[in-house]
Amino acid sequence: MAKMRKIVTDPLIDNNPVTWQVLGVCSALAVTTQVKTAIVMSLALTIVLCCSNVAISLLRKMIPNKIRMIVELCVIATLVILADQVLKAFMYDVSKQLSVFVGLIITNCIVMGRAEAYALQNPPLKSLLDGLGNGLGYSIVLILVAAIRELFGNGTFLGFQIFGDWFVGNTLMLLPPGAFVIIGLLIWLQRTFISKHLREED
Amino acid sequence: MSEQFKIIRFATIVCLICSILLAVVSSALSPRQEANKANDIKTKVLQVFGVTNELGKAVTGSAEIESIFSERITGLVLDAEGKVVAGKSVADLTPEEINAKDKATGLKQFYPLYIYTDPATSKKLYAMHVSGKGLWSTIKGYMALEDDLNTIFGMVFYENAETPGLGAEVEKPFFQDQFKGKKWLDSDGKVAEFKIIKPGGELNDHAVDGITAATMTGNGVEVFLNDDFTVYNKYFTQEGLRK
Amino acid sequence: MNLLNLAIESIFIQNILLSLFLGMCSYLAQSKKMESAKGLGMAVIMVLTIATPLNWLIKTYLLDKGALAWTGIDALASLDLSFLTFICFIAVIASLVQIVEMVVDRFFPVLYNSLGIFLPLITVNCAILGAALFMGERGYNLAEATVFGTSSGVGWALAIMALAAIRKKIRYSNVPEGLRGLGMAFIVTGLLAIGFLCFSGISL
Repeated sequence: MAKMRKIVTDPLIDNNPVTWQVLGVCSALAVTTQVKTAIVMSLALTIVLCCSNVAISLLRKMIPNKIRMIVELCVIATLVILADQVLKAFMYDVSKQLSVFVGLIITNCIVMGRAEAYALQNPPLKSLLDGLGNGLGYSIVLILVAAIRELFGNGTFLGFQIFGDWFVGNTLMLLPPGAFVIIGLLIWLQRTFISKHLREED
Repeated sequence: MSEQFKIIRFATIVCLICSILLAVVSSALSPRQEANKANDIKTKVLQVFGVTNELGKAVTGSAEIESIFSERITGLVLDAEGKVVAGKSVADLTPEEINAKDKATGLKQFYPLYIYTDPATSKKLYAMHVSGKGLWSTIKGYMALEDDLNTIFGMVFYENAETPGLGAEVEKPFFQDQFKGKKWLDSDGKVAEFKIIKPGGELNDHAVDGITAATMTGNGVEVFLNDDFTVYNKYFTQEGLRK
Repeated sequence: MNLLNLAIESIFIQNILLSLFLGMCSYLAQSKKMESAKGLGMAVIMVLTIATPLNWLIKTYLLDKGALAWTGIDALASLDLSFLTFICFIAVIASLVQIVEMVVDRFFPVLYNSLGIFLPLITVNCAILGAALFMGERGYNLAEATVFGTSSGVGWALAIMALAAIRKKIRYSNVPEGLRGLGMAFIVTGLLAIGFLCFSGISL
């Protein structure tokens, strides 16, 4: 049981896919100008990741090794299209804001990476938990970055005014460079205070 | 059974399952998606006409939107010459067809005109769709005119991908609210060129303040507002609607 | 003229990496050495140049609503296959990368030696799929799509080579311990992106 829990909790902070393994940062940045879009994007990715991990894990003994990658891509693409269709039908406004970035979940390295590295060798339940953990790890970073950008860029959180009239939004936060710098600083924090035991040489 | 055959069989099965799943889901959800799209346009139109519910909030429920639309709003479709297009209603128009101007897709650009009749005063309002290039994205919006077809009643920009914090501010109330009460015609009844000027410049009836540090976006908006009004104005004059 | 503007816009003003965040994973992973940055950059330019127009053709003549009208069959003419867009694009990209790899291997062995190992990485580079999706979203025509593809690739290559050069220098600097490597790479990218923001004042 403890082992199972570790599968979920490990990728949250210690082994976070975005800040530690550098996976899936592309989409992590473009949709983080608002907390709302970031939450929807996180949900979509977590669900796709869980489903794809389970599907690949179920198929793992049948997939011929030669066409392994393309089958994975096919499964992932199908799931992403499903997610996109559901968003378009039930959350039209948000899906318009996410525009092409839902589609880009296909090439999100977390999904491909977990399928290759974990789901191909492990049974469905474990793969599901692994997907959940990594999805949540991604979500934490995404929502944190979005919260910082929205709060200091617009003075709002989830669209509600937080700061009063005196606040002048910092446009740089909303522009792309803001996102890069915030992630950089988050990584610094994580490596200095939380994951001290992990070191990387450049 | 040979290795190759196995691989091909497996690939075929995976493809089949995926495609059947997708086709089923897509056809099951597509009516809802279409309805969303149509609703989206209608919400924007209600917004520019300033229609709100009892609480003063924007109307969002699809049933409510539908009933207001069928009771108070009629629409017509114009072509680039300001002529009414027969056999096409505003409900048929896709977002692509009303934003085709700057694209090389070969689609014909149509101009929807919504006419709102106030249930209490039976005064009419007219909403035109305006769109065009800003700095690097297409900016889209609706502009409502009062029944003299001259005074601007409201302006709503509903889509843009300009620089956040700069050009993207066109969607903010401080910019849109300036349009209210401005006029298209000068004192002789001729169409005056509408201007978006640098903040701090001299304002008149046909000009609004631009956004600081977003001059290029302002220039774009200025150009397409004038272009689009010219088309609608052809219709207004041809039909002799303006008293 | 229009095409030239588009090229300048997608290389500098709306750089696919620095302002649209596409292709970040391989950008960070492969920018430690100048050699590999260069190789990957060239490979991305090549694949984007071929893949974007190819996907345009597929989108316009197969997937869009009413795109099958050229077949002359009524039942097909009203079909809307746009829900298959993602899967078709990624399939095209994956197979294209394989074909390019084989062709380069067969006819340009010198090129293959320098680019070969990078080509398979490109399938999962979101810059390629991203460019194809943006091309559809923005409604480009075939010529524009081609120019957009090539210049996005050039912009990407420019960004990765710039980062590789900077990282090489930073290796000998005294960076705070937790910031070494990845953290610094992000911050440098942020500064690069601020630099590129200056281009946004250019009137085209």
